Parts: sequence; structure tokens; C-alpha cells
Amino acid sequence: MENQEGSGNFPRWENMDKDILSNIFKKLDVVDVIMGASRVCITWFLASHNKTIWNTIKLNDLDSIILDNPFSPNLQASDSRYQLRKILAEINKFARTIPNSFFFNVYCSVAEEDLAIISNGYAKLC
Amino acid sequence: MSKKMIVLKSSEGVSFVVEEAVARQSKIISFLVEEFPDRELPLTNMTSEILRKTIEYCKKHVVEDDGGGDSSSSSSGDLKEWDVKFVAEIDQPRLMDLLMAANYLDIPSLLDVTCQKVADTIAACNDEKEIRATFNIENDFTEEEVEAIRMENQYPI
Repeated sequence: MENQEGSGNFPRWENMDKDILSNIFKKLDVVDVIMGASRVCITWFLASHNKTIWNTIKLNDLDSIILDNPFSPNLQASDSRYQLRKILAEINKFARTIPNSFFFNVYCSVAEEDLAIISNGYAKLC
Repeated sequence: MSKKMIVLKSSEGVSFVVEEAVARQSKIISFLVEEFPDRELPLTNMTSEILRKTIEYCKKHVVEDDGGGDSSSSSSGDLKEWDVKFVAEIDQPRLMDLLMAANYLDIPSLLDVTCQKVADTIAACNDEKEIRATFNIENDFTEEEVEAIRMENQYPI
């Protein structure tokens, strides 16, 4: 099986083993999985629901899009591309009842309603 | 003292003679070597090019692992740098072949660096269209499915 350069005929990333894909997606931040990888094709969509990706959810790395940040007046909630609450709702859909740890940025203000979203059905929160 | 050598054969039938310690970076080969000593190991799903790359990686790592008891943090840092350079030089289709080889041969550290390169490439894309273009992936969602996903999450895109 040769791989000729520029053959343009190797539709193989979409046939990739789902465990390998999940391994890759684990290295992405949640927004890249939710907004990017999961929308590429059906295989990737299914792989992005793998529970191993959603065991631990780190939202503290999302510095550029962190939202409702009282210490950073330039970053008004209305200006931010994504809103925390929507991301949380989206995580709920992907992860369903699996996550057991959430990490937030210290400077990120998390409203009680936000916590209600993620705690809904989850037994343990960090 | 001569080191024990292992013969690995690529899909094109090209034989690669490597030191046992190098080949044993692969858990599968490690197992096969014990089960079938002194036998040529055919790797029919691996091209010579990919096998050569894989061996290059294993050679580098076995040298570093042997590097005496004083393996300082700087040498492991150098190795990391070497890994980054190693995967940076690999183009998209070959990256996938190498990733599959690492998976098949069970070389965890090589699998990790190749997966990381793919993740970095995905993260560098702005949206799913760019990801598809980069990886040459066909969009197999139906319009209804796309609509359903869009309806569910109404982010500004």
C-alpha cells in the first residue's frame, strides 16, 4: 500500500479507529472538541462522545475566551465568542453523566445557575 | 560483545536489521522476539519508509534510555525537543501512517507524540471546514444532521 504524495485519494482519517481518535481529542481543549472536531464527520462526531474525553473537564485553560471575567473589563460577556453557560450545556450533551472533575479558572466567575447546569445529575464536583 | 540483531521486513519485502534493544521499544516485537527467536518478522502493513522512520525513532529513544544512570533533566528535555522536531518534519499522510504504526507496534511514546501533533494541527484550525481541508476528510453529515447540530447549539460561528 503506497502513499503517493498529492494523490488526494486517501479518505482515511474518517475511518480512523475511534479509540485513537479519542486519544487525540483528549489532547484538545473542550471548545475545540465541541466546536471543531465533533463537526468534521460522523466518525469524529461519535468519537468525540467517548467517555474518556469527558472524565475530567478543564475550563481553566480557556484564557482567550473566558467569559464574564470581572477582572478583565475588556472581556465583556457580550463580546466573548462563547458563553460559559452554553459551553457547559454543550458539555452536558457530549459527556452526559460521566464527568467527575471540573476545573475552572480562578478569575472566572461562575454563577450559581452555571453550577446548576453541570451539577444536574452529577454526583461529585470539584 | 556483539549485540543480538533482529530482522524486520517491510511490506515491500525490504529487510531492516536492527539491534534487539531498539526493536524491543515495541511491545509487540518484544513479545514476538521471545516467542519466535531468530526469526525474521514480517510487517506487511508497514512501508519501508514508515518502518525506517519508526526505527529511527526507536534508535534515538533506546540510546537515550541507555544513557547511563545520570539521566539528567536536560537530556530528557533534549529528547522532547528531538521528538517535536521529528514529528514536525512529517507531512500529513505520513503522520497518519506513523501513528498507525505506533499503534500497531505498541510504542506508547511514539503514539503519544504523533497524537499530539494531530491534536495541535486540529487546534490550529479555525473551524470544522478547515479541519476537513487539512486532513482531506469528506463531510458525511446530511443537511438535516447539520441543521440538528446547529439548532442545538446556537453559538455565533
